[in-house]
Amino acid sequence: MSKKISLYGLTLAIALIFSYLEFLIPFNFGFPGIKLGLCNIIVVYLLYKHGIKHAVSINLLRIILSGILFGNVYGIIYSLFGAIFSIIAMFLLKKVKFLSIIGVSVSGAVFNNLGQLTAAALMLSTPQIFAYLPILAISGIVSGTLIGIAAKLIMNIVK
Amino acid sequence: MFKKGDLVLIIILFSLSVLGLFALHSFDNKGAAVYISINNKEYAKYSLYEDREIEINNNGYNKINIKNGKVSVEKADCRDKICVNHKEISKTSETIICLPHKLVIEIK
Repeated sequence: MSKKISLYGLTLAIALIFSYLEFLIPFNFGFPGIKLGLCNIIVVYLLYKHGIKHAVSINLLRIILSGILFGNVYGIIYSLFGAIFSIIAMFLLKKVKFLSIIGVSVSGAVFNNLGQLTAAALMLSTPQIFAYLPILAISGIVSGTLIGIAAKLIMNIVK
Repeated sequence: MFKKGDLVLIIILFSLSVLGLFALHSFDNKGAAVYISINNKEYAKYSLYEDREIEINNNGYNKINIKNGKVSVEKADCRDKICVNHKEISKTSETIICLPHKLVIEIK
């Protein structure tokens, strides 16, 4: 039990540090919503190593805490939509044999974008916002690949 | 490190996105009017071709600039400044959104 508590504490702390890093170094490509999503390294890693329950708990706590610390209410709603879409996609595709952790992470990233756009379209009742999907999906493919590689490297190192 | 399926997935998603971008661009038309809405309600509408500055103090402060058929947000007191950093818009159905202020600027 105490081992479990310390593991949750440790992974949550790392996820929050990643959130803080991204808050400190905002990337701006002229489009809102394009970012690296460092925290997803933890989510992908946890999903593979400790299962969906651990991954979801840490991600939910991370979203709420980092929203309160560095963001706002809207940010929390966006992130929640993205996280729910992404974890469902990753959980299902993880069962598919021909995809490795990298392919799963890429789909997670793209579904994260889709979820956030859905949140924005609902909140603003502006479906035109889905016009952002192609450009966000490309950024998601790139960041998802990098995050998948990082998560795989961590899997090899942390036993 | 990569499995074959990963590469197939990446290539498919990438091609779809690029196709989507091309499709959006080919339908892009020069817009005519600038619609501003706040809290999902229409707030104001202006011609895209009359230069003007619009200051809005509703949920927060935004200064919108219409110049040479292009719209941008010049100043805002929101926290993330996404609207200010957004590139200029000029084509139909392009939007600039300031989420903290629930402000949508759309070209029609």
